Parts: sequence; C-alpha cells; structure tokens
Amino acid sequence: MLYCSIHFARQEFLVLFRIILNYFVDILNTIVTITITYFCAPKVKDNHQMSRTIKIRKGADIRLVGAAENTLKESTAGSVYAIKPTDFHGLIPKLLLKEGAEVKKGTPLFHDKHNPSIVFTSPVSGEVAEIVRGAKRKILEIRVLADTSNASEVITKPSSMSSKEEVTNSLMSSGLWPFIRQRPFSTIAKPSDTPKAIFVSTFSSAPLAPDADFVMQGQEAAFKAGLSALSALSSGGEVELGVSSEGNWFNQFSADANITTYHGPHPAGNVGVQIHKTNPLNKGEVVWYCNAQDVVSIGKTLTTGELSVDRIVALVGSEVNAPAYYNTKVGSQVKTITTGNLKEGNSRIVSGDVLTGEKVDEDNFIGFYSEQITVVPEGDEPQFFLTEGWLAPGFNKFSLSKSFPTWISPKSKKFALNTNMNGEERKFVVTGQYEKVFPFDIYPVQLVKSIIVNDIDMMEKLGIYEVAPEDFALCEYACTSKINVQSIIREGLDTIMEEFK
Amino acid sequence: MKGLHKFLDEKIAPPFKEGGKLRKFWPMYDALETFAFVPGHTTHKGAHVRDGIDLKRTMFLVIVALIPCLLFGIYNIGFQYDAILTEAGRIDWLGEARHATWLEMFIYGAPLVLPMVIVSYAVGLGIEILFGIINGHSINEGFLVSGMLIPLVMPVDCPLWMVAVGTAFAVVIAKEVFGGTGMNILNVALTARAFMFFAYPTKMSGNNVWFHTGYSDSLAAAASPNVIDTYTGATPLGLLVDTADGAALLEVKTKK
Repeated sequence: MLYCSIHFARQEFLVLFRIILNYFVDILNTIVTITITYFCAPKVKDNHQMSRTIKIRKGADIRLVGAAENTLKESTAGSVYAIKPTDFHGLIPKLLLKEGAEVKKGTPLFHDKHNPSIVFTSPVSGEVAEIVRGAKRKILEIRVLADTSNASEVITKPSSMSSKEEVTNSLMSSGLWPFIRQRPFSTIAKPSDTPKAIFVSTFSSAPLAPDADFVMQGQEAAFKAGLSALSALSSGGEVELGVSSEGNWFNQFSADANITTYHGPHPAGNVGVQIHKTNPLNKGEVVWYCNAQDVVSIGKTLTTGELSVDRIVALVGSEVNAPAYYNTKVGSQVKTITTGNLKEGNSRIVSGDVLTGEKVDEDNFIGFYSEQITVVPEGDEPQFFLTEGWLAPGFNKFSLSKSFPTWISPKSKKFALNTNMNGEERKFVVTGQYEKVFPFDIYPVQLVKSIIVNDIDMMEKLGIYEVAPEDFALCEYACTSKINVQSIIREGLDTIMEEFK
Repeated sequence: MKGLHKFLDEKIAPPFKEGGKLRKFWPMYDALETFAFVPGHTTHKGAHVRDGIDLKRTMFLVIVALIPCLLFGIYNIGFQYDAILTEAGRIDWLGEARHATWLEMFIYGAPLVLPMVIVSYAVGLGIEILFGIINGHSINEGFLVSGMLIPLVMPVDCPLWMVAVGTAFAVVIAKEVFGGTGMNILNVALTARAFMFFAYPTKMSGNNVWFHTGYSDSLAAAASPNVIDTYTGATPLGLLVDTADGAALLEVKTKK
C-alpha cells in the first residue's frame, strides 16, 4: 500500500510539474505575442489604405439558372412611371399634388406624414396621371405620365460636399433622401439622427444578383462624389464600403472610404451582415446604409443640380430568354424591360431577388430599391410523392439539406426552381437549419419564437436591433416547416418601433 | 399521376370540403392527399423559392436512420434467445443440436418486435387523427418518428396492451395537450418510457428486460448469471442481490 502511494505521489508530482511548466511557457508566449503586435503591427488608424477581409462561413448560395450576361441593353421607352409608397416600410404618405397636375423631373409628389421634409419626387417630367388606391384608400401608386419636354427642377447644389447641412438639404429637396436607409428597422433614415457609421454594401450576394463591377462601369466620378456627400453625413466622416472578394472595381476608392472585403456565400453582401461583422449595433445606436447605384445617383445629382435616377436593372431567371442588364430609371414599368424577353408559360415576375423581392406583374413598376427583376416558373402543380414529391429522389431539386442527391452535384450545376412551397406549413421543429445559414452571433430560432410570443424584452436581449427581414431570407428558404420568417421578423421590428414612439 | 389527383379531388374530396357531410373529417382526407401529393401551394410572401425539403421528408429520413437500429434489435433478440437456450441446455431448440444462423435469429426476433411497431403506430396515429379532427388542424408528421422510437425503448417481452397504453399516454400528455408536434415540451418516446417505468415496473426493470424469455422463469434463471456479460447501475450494491456470488456474500454478512 505504502509503496503504491509513494509511486503515485511521484507520478503526480511529475504531472504537476509539467502543468506548471506549460503554464510558464504559455505566459511567455503571450508576452512575446503582445510585444510583437504592439511594436511591429501597422497602426490601423494611420493607415488609411489598409483593407480588411472578412470571411463569412455560414450561409448558402442558391444556384439558379439564368444569370445575366454582361450586355447592357436599352429598355423600351415607357410612358408611365410610378412611385410606390408601399416600397417604404412604415411610411404614411401625404400627397402634395392632385391628379392632372403638371410635374417636372424632381417635383415632389408626396411627403412623409411624420417628417414633411422627406419628399418623394417624380423621376420624369409630365403629369400626375393616376393615384392608385387600395383598401381603406391606402395609396399604392402615384403614376406619372411622361412627356417629351424633359423639364427638370433645379436642385440647389451644396457649396461644398463637406457641409452636412447643405448636403442634407440637397438630398431632401431632390427626393434622394429615401435612398438612405437606417438600421435598426431598415426604414428611411431619420434626418435628425446622427448615425455612428454609414455603410454601403457594393454588391448583392443574393441569387442571380447583378454583377456590381459591370453595373458600375464608367461611374467612377459620380460614385466618388456620392461617397464624399455620404461621408459629410456620418459623424465619423467615414463611409464603410463592403466589397466582394470577387470584384475589384471598388478598390480604387480606398482613399475615400474604409474598405472591407467580404468573402463567402450569401448573405455576405447583406448590409446587415456587414454591419454586424465590422461595427455591431447596440440598443440606441443608428447606422445608415445605401446601395451602390444610389450613391451614383446622389453623386450625379449633387454635382449637376439635376435629379438623376438612372438605374441599371438586371433581368434574370430561368424564364427569361436572354438574361441581360437594362438601362432604366427608378419607377419604370416592369414591361419596359420584360416585353418580348420572357418565355411562354406560367411564370412569376419578382421585383428584386427571389429571396426578398416582391411579386409584380408586367403592368406594375420596378421597386424603388430593386436592382434586378427575376422571373421564375410558378409551381402551382401538385407533385406526386413518388415521382417528384417528398419521397422522390429529387434530381432536379436544390436543397441545403443533404436529403437530395443534388448536394453532391458540382457547384457549376444550376437549378430552375419554381415557386412551389414544396410542403405544407408546420410548427417549428428543431432542425438546426437556420443556424447553418445565419452568419450573425444571434440565435435565429429563439429570436423568431420570441417575436411570435411578443416578448419584447427577449427580442431585445436576442438582438433584434441588428437584423432585418432580408437577413432571415435564407432561413425562410431553408425552413422545413415552411414558416414565413421574414414577415415574422418584420412584425417584431414593427412592435419595437411602436414602443419607441 | 394527374389522373389520380383529379380522381382524389373530384371523387373523394367533395364531402370533406367546406359544407360537405364529412367536413369534420377533413384532416383525415388532408393527410391522405398531402401524403400522395405535395400540394400545389405557391409562395405568397417572403422568399419566392423554397428548399425542396419538407417535414415529411425530414421525418422520413429520421426513420431511415432508425432502420439499422431496428434491424439489429430484431436480430439481437434471436441471438440472445439462442444464447439463453444454449445455456439452459436446450441447444436443440431448432430441432437439431446447433446454434441458430443469423437469419434464423432474425426470423425469430421479427414477430416479437414488429407487432410492437404496428401497435405503436396504430395507437399513436389514431390519436393524432382524433386530435386533428377535434382541433381541426392537419395531421402532423412528428409521430412517424415517435412511433418508431417507442418500440425501440421497450423491453421485448412487454405486452402489446402496455405498449398501446404507454403510447396513448405519451401522445396525449406529452404532445397533444400542448398543441401537437412542435409545441410539445416533452419528448414523446421518452415520456412513454418514463410512464411505463413507473406504471409497470416489474415488466420494465430487472434483469430480464434485455432479452426474450417467453415469460419462462427457468430461462430467466439460466440467463441471469452467465449470458449477461456485464452489469451497470447506480451503485454496485444492486448487483449483490442479483448475482449468485453476491447473494452468497450477503448471506455471510447477515449471518454475522
């Protein structure tokens, strides 16, 4: 017995000794590392040119057929344009003009009831043709019939791009202010707020998204002017530019903005992800964001003094004959780019990408923030369970789960998905699918559940301020239970917004 | 297959539809129809395209994953039975003096296990349908997995009526009272197991739950000391009572 315990003691002593030794080595290591980083690393603040790279691991690319070719076409000249108040969540429009009123390009059509200085202007000159109303006289569209005069309101140019007040005033009066949106809530920015940063996500990683490098060609000067206008608005004087690792057009602006390169699958291009990864949002803080093409509009308008709402829209999807880019304007009618370009058959036109876009028809108008029109087949046919339904092998179905053989197909294989739900709506079942495609440090399922039970404290604790419906688009796509997660998130944000009022 | 769908929709469906005579039983028809056909529902808000997977496929995959477990369980029952009989000196239980082949073991186990699977599914799905009809909601796929798990956590000699009672208790108390699959706070299969453990302890615990003895005490006695390779438990004390050596040891202690 005694021998035994001595033997053990010696062994234990050796182990203990090694642990202590390891400890010292670790401490030494740490000291050396800290010293090296402190003395040798480049000082971030001084080095303006330095760009960061952030790798997004969680997420997924939905591989759809019908990406746009790099060709720029002209849309057929449309005569009717419209601004849809429904594009701006939470906005209560107050009309400024009646049907039949003459407008120039840049004439205010309506303003925000709660914030009269935010006006929405006509993209063309002509006359107010029709005010389309829905249930309870809700204003759906303000249609403007374009004339050929091309008359334009004169917009006061800011005397210098560094004056916050002058830039703000020009943006407000020109109707470009709505291009600047805010987080939390992803609504139009409040001019009275001071954002802690302004983000521009220069690319979209959504399915069939336009190629930012192609779209932005030749807009260098305007983009630069737009950036300097935005930097006047931000408190730090800096604009955060999120660029894709696959493009390089935006890297030329490293002197005008902080560039962060994002690498990885969708939703790497979502501004919410970029904010979360670089400058996370706490309760009470506000950041603003803006799309790259809208920065160009801002730059052009503020330098020329004439409203510029040109936009390049990609027409994509499996039901498009020749997917390509089209030169058009904000508020154009959908048929100006789709006429003659769609395949025969029952298809759905989406203004925006298939994950977050809005269902439209050819007589509708392109959304205020949309940069693509996606056309996919409708899937209103029932599917027999053995041949194409839930028990079928499913060689033509794309899934993020590994329950379809297509998960081993090469990355180059594309799918023509339709709008079928592929199942019935069910209650939440714990599957871990949301977490795989949600690159935030947030528990997605718990957050959605807290919204369903309307627990505001819990929503706040789980970080609802950082998210927007679009960030949950992939969760909604992947959901086994077919839950409409995006509208749940929107409900939650609305509840919180009510609390703030 | 369009014809079949048309037949379902035109010939079978009308009485179940709004205003029909069998409107109350709509969940039953709905379960049948959505089993055969993924409905042509299209997305109307949010993401316009959706993943190919749905709850039916998810649950079906879990069942596929459970099948090897079930097959081994069936085989193991035959295997253990053969071992016990050999131990009891009845190696000729098959008519000749040899061990059973794996196939014979499997064939021996199957009629003992499969009825439990059938009973569990019949009772559980019956209750699901009943609650679907009462609450007017569609029948959920969640029980497909529970129905397989319940027989897998029951001793093979457990009477079928006990399986039925346990399943019924679990489905009602653990799931349906909370609102069905996805709303339950308890695991259905484990609730069945816990209920059985406390309701019928003699059938659910002890040494003889691990193999089929056909309620024969002599076989159980043969199995106890020798067929079982090893024991585990909260404390070693339990073993004292159960093993011959342990019992002898106890006797010594009590004599003092």
